[in-house]
Amino acid sequence: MSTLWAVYKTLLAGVSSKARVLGFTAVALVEIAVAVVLTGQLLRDPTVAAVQIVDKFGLSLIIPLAALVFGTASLGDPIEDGTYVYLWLRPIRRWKLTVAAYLTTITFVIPLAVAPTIASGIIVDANLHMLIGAGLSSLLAGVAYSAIFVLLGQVTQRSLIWGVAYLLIFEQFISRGGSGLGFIAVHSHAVSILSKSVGDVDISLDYFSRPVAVVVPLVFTALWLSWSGIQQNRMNVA
Amino acid sequence: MTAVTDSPTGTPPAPPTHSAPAAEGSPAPGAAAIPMVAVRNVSKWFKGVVAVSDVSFDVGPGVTALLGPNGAGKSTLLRMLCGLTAPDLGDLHLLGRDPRHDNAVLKHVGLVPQQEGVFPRMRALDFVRLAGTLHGVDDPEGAARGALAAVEMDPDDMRPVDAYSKGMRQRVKVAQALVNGPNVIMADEPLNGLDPRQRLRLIEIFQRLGDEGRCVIISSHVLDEVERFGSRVLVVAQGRLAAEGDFRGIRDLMDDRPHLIRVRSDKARALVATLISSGIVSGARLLSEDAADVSVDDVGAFRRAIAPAAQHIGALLTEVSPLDDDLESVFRYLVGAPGPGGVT
Repeated sequence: MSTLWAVYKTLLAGVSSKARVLGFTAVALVEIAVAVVLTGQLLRDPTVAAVQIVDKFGLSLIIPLAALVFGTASLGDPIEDGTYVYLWLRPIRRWKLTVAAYLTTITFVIPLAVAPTIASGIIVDANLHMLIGAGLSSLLAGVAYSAIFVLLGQVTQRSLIWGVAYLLIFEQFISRGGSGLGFIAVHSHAVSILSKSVGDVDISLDYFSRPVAVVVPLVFTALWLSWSGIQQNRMNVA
Repeated sequence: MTAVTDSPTGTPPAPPTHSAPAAEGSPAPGAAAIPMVAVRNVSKWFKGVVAVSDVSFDVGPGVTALLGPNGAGKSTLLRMLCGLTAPDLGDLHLLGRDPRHDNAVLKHVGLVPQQEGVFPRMRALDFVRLAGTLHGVDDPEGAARGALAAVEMDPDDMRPVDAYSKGMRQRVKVAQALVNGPNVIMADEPLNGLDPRQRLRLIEIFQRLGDEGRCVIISSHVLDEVERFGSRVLVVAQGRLAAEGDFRGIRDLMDDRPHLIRVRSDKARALVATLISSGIVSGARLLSEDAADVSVDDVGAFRRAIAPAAQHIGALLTEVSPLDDDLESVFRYLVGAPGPGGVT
């Protein structure tokens, strides 16, 4: 068994508490239920409704929250309860700890947050453009937010509080103020992909071109994970 | 012989050097004599509070006890030795390598940390096998079973470790430290929470590992615990290396230092005057007409002299009790800090 697999399995078991999994399963079901209810309405423009539910429910709420909860817990929990010493104090390359934590996070975020978001978009407006838009934007948001919160769980105490503050203050407020800070916000890139993919939807979400909106979050994901990997060797372990 | 370091800038006694056991990637025996653990002028502070101050020592094969009261800096020292935290000043080397920057050396290290946390919902066998896997041992399953058997734990116990008693968890923690057959083993208060039989068993295990030529460092704040290891002792107090030597030397130090003793007698004043005039007592404080605290340099001589002196003046002795015959007092003495109720 490889060391990466061993660490991944250990972190996965630690993060997968019943409360977390059941809680996010319930939220995902609510998202899908709302989509089903909307489908039953006589919508004037189902595309706009689908974009709204993908954006407001998925990209702005469920995906970042799932990434926050599972991402900060993946390294934050073992660091806080002292069990991290049993992973860190081993003759292994420590970037593997970051990679394992990241894989652990997206193992939960994709089925519990990304997939329901895609499903809700498709339920409301079933077409290929929506599949691509909701799929690509949700996946990128999940991937990018997970990297941010894995790093946050590693380098800060009270990472949940800092994470919520980041989401509420920066992602939901500052980055949308037209100051140019939207370039480093995950949400603005994700909604840009969604908007560009589904066509001319006038919902004021169109910040960046699709190539930029795809590449930038991936670059930042790589940067956050690299930072986390570098910090592994510098951190003090309790 | 016990050496006492009474100044943070004092030069530590030249320690013996030992050849590290042959270990992958470590210098070949005979190529150069290097201490298995080398600490040089190491200091560490947290937010302005000094945790470890200018500590230097070497440790070779066998069991070495890191003795000191709670908060003395033992755990910080062990954490620095493993590379878990970096010293602010000085150098530490394990088997000739810096554990902070060369974690390959951890292949030869086993740590029993003080914290009680274990992975939730994980069986003992899985916990120890994980350690074996991460250490790259050839047969993690077999090594884990062997390590658990060594600490008298059932490898097939299906209960999760977090459901174990404190003593059982402690033994599992020791097993994970032994699974890779380390050359250097560090244990932070490993006997905490164990019943007498378990303590005896673990002491035997650590002694056997030491006899095999491994470097075993045990931290403890219990002097009697250290005595049972029959080991070399490093006394740490207030972040400084206060003394080092064999256990007997430390025990002698306890007896040789000035002692504070309370004497109760119906003629306390006269009795104290007699003892002072005979040179047995170096100082005294009269608490009341029937009680006094006396300072004694030679406890043995005092024990022999007190009864005849009382008899000589016709005094009735009702109490003779030591006030500072505890480890904390020894540590205070070793670092030169004033103790409570000092006598003149």
